[in-house]
Amino acid sequence: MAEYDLTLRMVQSLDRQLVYPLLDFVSAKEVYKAEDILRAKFELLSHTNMVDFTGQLYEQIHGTAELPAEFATKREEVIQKLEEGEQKTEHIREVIENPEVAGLLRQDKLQNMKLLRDNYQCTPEMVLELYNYGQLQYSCGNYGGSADMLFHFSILSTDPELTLSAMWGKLASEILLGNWEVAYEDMIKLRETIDKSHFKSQSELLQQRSWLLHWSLFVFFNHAKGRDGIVDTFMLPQYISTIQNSCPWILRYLTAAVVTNRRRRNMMQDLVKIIEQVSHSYRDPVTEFVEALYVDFDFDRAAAKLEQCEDVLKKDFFLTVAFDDFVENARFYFAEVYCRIHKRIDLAGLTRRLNMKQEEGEKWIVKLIRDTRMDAKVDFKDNSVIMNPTYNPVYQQVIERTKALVFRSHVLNGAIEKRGLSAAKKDESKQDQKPKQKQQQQLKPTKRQPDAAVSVAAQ
Amino acid sequence: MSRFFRRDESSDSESDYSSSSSDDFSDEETQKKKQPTSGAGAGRIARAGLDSDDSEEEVKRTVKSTKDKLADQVTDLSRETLRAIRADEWHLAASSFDQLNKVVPKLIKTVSAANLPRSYVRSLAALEDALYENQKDKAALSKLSATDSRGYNQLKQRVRKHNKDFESLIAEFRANPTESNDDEEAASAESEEESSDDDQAVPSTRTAAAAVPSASKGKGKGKAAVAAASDSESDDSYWDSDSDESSSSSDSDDDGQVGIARWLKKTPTKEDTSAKKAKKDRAQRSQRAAAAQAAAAAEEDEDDDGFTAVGKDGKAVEAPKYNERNLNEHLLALIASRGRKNTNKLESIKSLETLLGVGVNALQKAKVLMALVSAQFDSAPSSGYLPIEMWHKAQSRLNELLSLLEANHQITILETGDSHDYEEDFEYNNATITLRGSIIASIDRLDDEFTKSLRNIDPHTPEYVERMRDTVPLYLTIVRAQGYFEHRNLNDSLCRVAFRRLEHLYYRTDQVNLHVESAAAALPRTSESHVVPASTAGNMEAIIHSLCTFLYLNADTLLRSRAMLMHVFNHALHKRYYVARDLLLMSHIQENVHQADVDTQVLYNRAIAQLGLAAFRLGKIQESFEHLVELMSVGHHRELLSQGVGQLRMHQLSPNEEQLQRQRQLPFHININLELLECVFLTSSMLLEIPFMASANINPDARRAPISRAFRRLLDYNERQVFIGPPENTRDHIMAAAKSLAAGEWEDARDFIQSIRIWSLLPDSEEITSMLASKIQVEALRTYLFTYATQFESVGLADLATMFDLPKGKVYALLARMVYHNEVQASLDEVGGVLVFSRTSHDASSRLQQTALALSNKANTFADINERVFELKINGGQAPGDRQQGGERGDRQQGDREGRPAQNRRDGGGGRDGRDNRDGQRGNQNRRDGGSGGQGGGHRGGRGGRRGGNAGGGSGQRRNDN
Repeated sequence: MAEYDLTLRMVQSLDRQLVYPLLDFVSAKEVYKAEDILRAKFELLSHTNMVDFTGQLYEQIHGTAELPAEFATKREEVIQKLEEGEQKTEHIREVIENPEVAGLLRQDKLQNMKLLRDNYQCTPEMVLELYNYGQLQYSCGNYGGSADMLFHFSILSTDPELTLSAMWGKLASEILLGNWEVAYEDMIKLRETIDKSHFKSQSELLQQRSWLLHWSLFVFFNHAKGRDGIVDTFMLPQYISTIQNSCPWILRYLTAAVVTNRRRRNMMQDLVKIIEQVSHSYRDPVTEFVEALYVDFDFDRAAAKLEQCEDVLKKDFFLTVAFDDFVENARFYFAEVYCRIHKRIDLAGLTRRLNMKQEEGEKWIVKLIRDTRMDAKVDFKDNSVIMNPTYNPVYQQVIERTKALVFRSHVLNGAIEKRGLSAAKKDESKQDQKPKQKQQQQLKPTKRQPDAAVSVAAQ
Repeated sequence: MSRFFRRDESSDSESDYSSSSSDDFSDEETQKKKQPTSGAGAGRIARAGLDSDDSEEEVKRTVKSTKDKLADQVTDLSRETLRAIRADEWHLAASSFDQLNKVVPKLIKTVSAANLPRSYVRSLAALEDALYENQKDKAALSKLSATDSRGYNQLKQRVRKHNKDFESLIAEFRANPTESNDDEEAASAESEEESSDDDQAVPSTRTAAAAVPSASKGKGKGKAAVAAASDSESDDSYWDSDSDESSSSSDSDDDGQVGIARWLKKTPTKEDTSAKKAKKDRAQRSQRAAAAQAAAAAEEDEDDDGFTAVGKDGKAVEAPKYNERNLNEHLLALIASRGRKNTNKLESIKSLETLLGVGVNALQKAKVLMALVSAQFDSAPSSGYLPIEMWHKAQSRLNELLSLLEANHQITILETGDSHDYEEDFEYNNATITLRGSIIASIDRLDDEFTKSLRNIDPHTPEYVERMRDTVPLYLTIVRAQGYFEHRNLNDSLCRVAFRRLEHLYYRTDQVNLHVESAAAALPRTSESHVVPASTAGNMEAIIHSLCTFLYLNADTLLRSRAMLMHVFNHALHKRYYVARDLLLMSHIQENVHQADVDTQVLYNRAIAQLGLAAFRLGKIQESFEHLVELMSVGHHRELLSQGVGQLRMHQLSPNEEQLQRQRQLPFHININLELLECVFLTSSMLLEIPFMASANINPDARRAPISRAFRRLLDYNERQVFIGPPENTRDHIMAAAKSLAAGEWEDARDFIQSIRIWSLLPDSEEITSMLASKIQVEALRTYLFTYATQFESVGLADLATMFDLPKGKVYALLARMVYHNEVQASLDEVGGVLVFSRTSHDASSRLQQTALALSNKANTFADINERVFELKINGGQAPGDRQQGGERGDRQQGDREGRPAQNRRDGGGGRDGRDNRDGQRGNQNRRDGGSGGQGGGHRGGRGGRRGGNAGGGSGQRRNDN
C-alpha cells in the first residue's frame, strides 16, 4: 500500500523535526511496518538534542528500561549548553525586549546595529549568539523559545545568509507550534525573500524553492485561507517550474487544492496542462483523475481513479482532512464536464459513475442543477437529464466583438488629440504632424464600422 | 655570367673532376672562377692566376649577374657590420645593419633564404652574440659615445626579431664554430688552392693529396664520402639547377673570410656542399648539413681538415651519426626547420624516425615523438586533407607517445612545461619532469584531419567505408589520451578530450557505440577513471551521461553548451524525448543560441531536428511539428544542418562562401537524413493541417493562417496540376494521402503513408506505421465531422465507429473532447448514442452571418493596426523635448495593447491555439523562472526566440561567409 505514499520523497526536502509528524501519521495508518517506523523515528531524533524523547524511543525499540550512559552525558551537555546560551544572550534579550528599544528600531539594519552598539553595548557577536541559542532551543524541541530568538536575530542580523536560515528556523518553529497565522505570514515573507535574493547557482535557488513548497504544505493545509494560498503560490510560474523540475509529487497537493477550491475553477485549465506535461515523470490517482476527465474524457476511468483517490487521500498526512471536500468537489467537476458535453444524460449511468446509489445520485444531481442554475431538466420517464446547451447566436457574437471597438477608437482619438495639443504647444515641426493627421483620417472608418456590423447582425 | 654558361661550366667541371675530387671541389672551383679571394692563403695565390689578380670590383662589373651583385653587396655590408661590432662602433654597425636589411630581401627573392651569403649569417650571429650573449655591463656601455650607445640600443631592439627568420641558419652556423676554428687556416688554404687549381683545370697534386685523405677518412668514419661523390655525380640534374646559387653563397663566404679572421672557413665549405645537395629541398639540405656537422663535430679532435666532413655529406643521411648525446642538437635543428618554406617535410619525418631509434630513454623518445607527430601533421597539404597513410602513421606515433607516457608516469607534457633542450638528456634518471608540448593539440589535429578526410571522400564509395573503419582506433587513441590527462590531472585538456570523445559518441546509437566502447574497455587501464567510472561499462547512456556531467562541471561555457546539445541529441536519438526536451529547456540555450558561433548553432539545429524525430517516434505529432517547423519551412535546412548547400542557393554563393560552407559541412555518416526529416515534417503537417483546414469551414472565427505554410504550398501546387500520376516519391505520397484524408478516405491515406519506404530508416518502423495509421483514423474522423457538421442534424456514434474502424469508446472520447473544446457546436446524447449538432451551428452557416462575423473580425484587426501605427509614431517620431509625455502615453497604450491580444487569442479559441499553448507551456514556465512576462506573451516570445535562433543560425552562417 506504500505505492502512492509520498513520505519518502517528502523527507528529502523537510527538516528532521518536521518529518516527525509525518512519520507519526504514517505509523498510525500502518502503511509501513511499525518497527521500521520506530527505528526511523529514532534515527531522526538521535541527531537532535531531544535527549529524553530519543531515550523513550530507544526504550521502545529495545524493550528495556535502561538507557546507555551516553544519553545521560548528552543530556547534561545539552543542559549545560542551554544554560550557557541563556547567559550569553541575556543582555541582548533584555535590550531588545525593552519596548523603548523596539520603538527605536528602523528598517535599516545597519542603523539598528549602530544604535544598539552605541547605546546599549550590543556587539554583533551577541546577535550571533541569539542565532546559536535559537538553533539550540529548536534542536531541543523548545520551539517557542527558538521562534523568539530567531525572530530577533532575523531583525538584527546583517548577514543575509544567516537571516535566511533564521527565517527557515522560525517557520519550522511556528509550524511545530501550530501557530498557523504566524507561520502563514512567515512563509509569505520567506517566499518574498527567496524570490528577491540572489543565490550562487540556479540549483541552490531551486532547492530553496522546493523546500518552501514542501514546508508550506503544513501551513496551507492547516490555515483557514490555505486553500486559496496554495493555489496562488504554487501556480506562480517559478514554483510551477520548480515542481516540474525537482518535485513533481507536489502536484498531488496542488491538484487536490484546485479541486477542493471551487472558486479557483479557472485554474483548472492551467493545472491540466501542467499535469499533462508532467505525466511522463509523475502520476498518481489524484492527477490521473484530472487527466482522465479533462484530457482523455474517459469518464469510466475518471470514476475508477476517483475511487482510488479515496485510499490515497486518507493515507496522506496533509490531505486526509480534505478528503470529503475533495470527493465532493471532484464529483462536481465530473458532473460539470459531463453535462457540458452531453445533451441527454442517463441518470443511472451518471450516478453509477459518481459512485453513488440511485436515489442519492438523483438527489445529488437535482441539487447540482439547482445550485449551479444549469439549464437542464430531469425526465423521469426516460430516467434521464436533458441539457439545453446555450450557444452564442451569431448576432450576439458580432455585438460582443464590436462592443469594445467604440471605446478603443475613442481612447485612440483622445490620445491623438492630446498629442496634437501638446505638439502644437511645443511648436513641433510640421513633419511630425502629418502622420497624425493621417491617423485621424484612418480612424474614421474604424468608428463607423462597428455600427455597420451591428446593424448587419441585427438583421 | 649567363645562366647557361654557368651551368655548363659547373656540370663540366663536375664531370671532369668527380672521379678524383669530392663534390666540393667542383663547387669550390665554380666559386673561384667567379670571384677569387685575394687575401687568403696568400702563398698559393700565385697559382690562382688571372682570377686572383682581378680586383673584386672588376669581377663584379664584368662578370656578375644582378644576383651576384646583390650577393656581393650583402657580403660587403656584412663584413662592415662585423668590423664595426668588433671595433665597438655601434652606430656604424647599426647603419650597415639597416642597409643590409634593405638589400637582403632583394637577394632572397632571387635565391632562397637558406642560400644567403654565409657572411651575412655570420654577421647576424655575431650581432646576436655581441648584443645578447655578451651583454655589456653598465660600465662598458657608459664608455661608449652617445651615438654608439644609441646604435647599440637600436640594434638590440631589432636584431632578435629580425633573426627569428634566420634562426635555423644561425643555428647551423653555430653548430660548428669550434671545429672550424681548429682548422680554419688549413682548410681555407686548401680549398682556395684547390679551387684555383680547378680554375685552371689542372688539379694539383696537392689537392689530390688533400682529397684522398679526406675521402679515406670519410670512409673510415662511415664510408660516406665515396658514396656521396658517386651520388652527386649520378645526379647531374641536381647540380645543374643549383650550381649558381651554391656558388654565390660560397662567394660571399670567401669574402667574409677576407674580412674577418677566417675562423669559420670550415663551415662555408660544408655549407656549400649541403647547399648543393639541397637543390630542391631545403629541409633535406639543412638536415644533411646538420648531419654532416654532427659527424664533423664528433671527429673534430682527430681531424686535420674540413674535407672529411665535407666528403661525407652525401651518405651521411643514410647512416647518420646520431647518438643519444647529440640527439637534442639534431632535434632542435629539425624543429627549427619546421614550418620553413622549403623544408622537405618527408625528409624531416624520416630523420626524426631515425632519431627515434637513437633515443635511449623515455625522455628522449618522448621529445622525438612529439616532434615527429607534429612533423607528420605538417605534411598535410594546405588544402585537402592529410593522406590517409600519413594519418595512420601519425596516429600510431601518437599512440606510441601515449603508451610511453602511460609507462612513465614521471613525464608530463604540458603547454607550459620546460623546454629541456640541454644535452644531459641521455643521463636522464627518471626524475619527475615536465616537457613543453601539447598532446591535446595533436589529438585535436588527428581528429580534425580524420573529419576532413571524410568530408572530402565521396561517401558513396568503398573508400569512405574503409576510412570509417579508422573511427575505432581513433576513438581508442582519444580514450587513452583521456586516461593520460586524467592521470596527470590536466583539467583543461581533459575537458577537451572528453568533448572529443563525446563528439564521437553522441550521434550514434547505443548498439554501435557499445561495439566501440567494448574495444575501449579492452585497453589497459592505468587507474580508475573518475570521468567515466568503470561501473558505467556496457551502458552507453551512463557513459555519455558521465562524460556530459563532467563537462558540465568543468568545461567552459562553449564546451558546456555543446556537450549539452550533444546530450540532448543523444537522448532524442534513443527516443528519450522527455529527458531530451527537459534538458534542452532547462539549459535556456534557446535564448541565446543566435549569439553563439556557427558550429554551436548547427549543433543546436541538429539537436532540435533530432528532438522532432524523437517526438514523432513517440507519436507526439504536435510537438514534432513544432520542433521541425522552423527548421524545415525556411527552405535552407541543408545549410542550417551543415549538410551541404541547397541546390537553389548553390549558385548564389560566392566561391569564398561556398568554401566556408564546405569546410563546415559535416561528414556524411553524421548527417541526419534530410528526406526522412522532410517526410516526418510533412506527415505531421498533414495530420495537423487537414483537420484544421476542414474546421475552417464551420468555424469562421478560427484563425485563417495556415499551420504549416510549407505544407499548404505543396498542397496547392499539387492541386493545380492538371494530371496527377500515381505517387512516386515521398512528397507525392504524402500529398496523395493528404487529399484522401481530406476526402475522408482514411484507408487510402493510410496506405499511401504506409507505402513510404523511408520509414524503414527509423528504428521502430513497424510501430511508427501503426501509430500513423491510428493517427490517420482519428484525424480522418475529425476532418469528417468538421466537413459535414453543417449537413447533419445528428450522427450516430456507432456509425462513426464502424466508418473509421475505431473502438466506440475512442470515438466517444474524441467527440467529447471536440465538444468540450468547442470545436464543434454539438453535444452528445448518451441515451440515443448520437452526436446532436446544435441549431445555431446551422444558422452560422448562413452566408450573411458568416460575412458579418468576418467583418467584425476585420474591424477588430483594423483597430489593432491603427493603435499600433499610432504607437509607432509616438515612439518613433518623437522630438527629444517631448519624451516624457510621449513615454507616459506610450505606457498607457501599451497597457491597452497588452490586454487585447490576450483577449483575441481567447476569442480565436481554435483547438490549435490551445494545443499550442500547452506545448509551449513548459518552456514558458522555465523561462518565467527568470521572471519574464505573462504566459501567452512568454510563449510567443519563446517561439519567436527559437525562430530567431534558427534564423540567426542562417544569417550567422551567411555573415561568416562574408
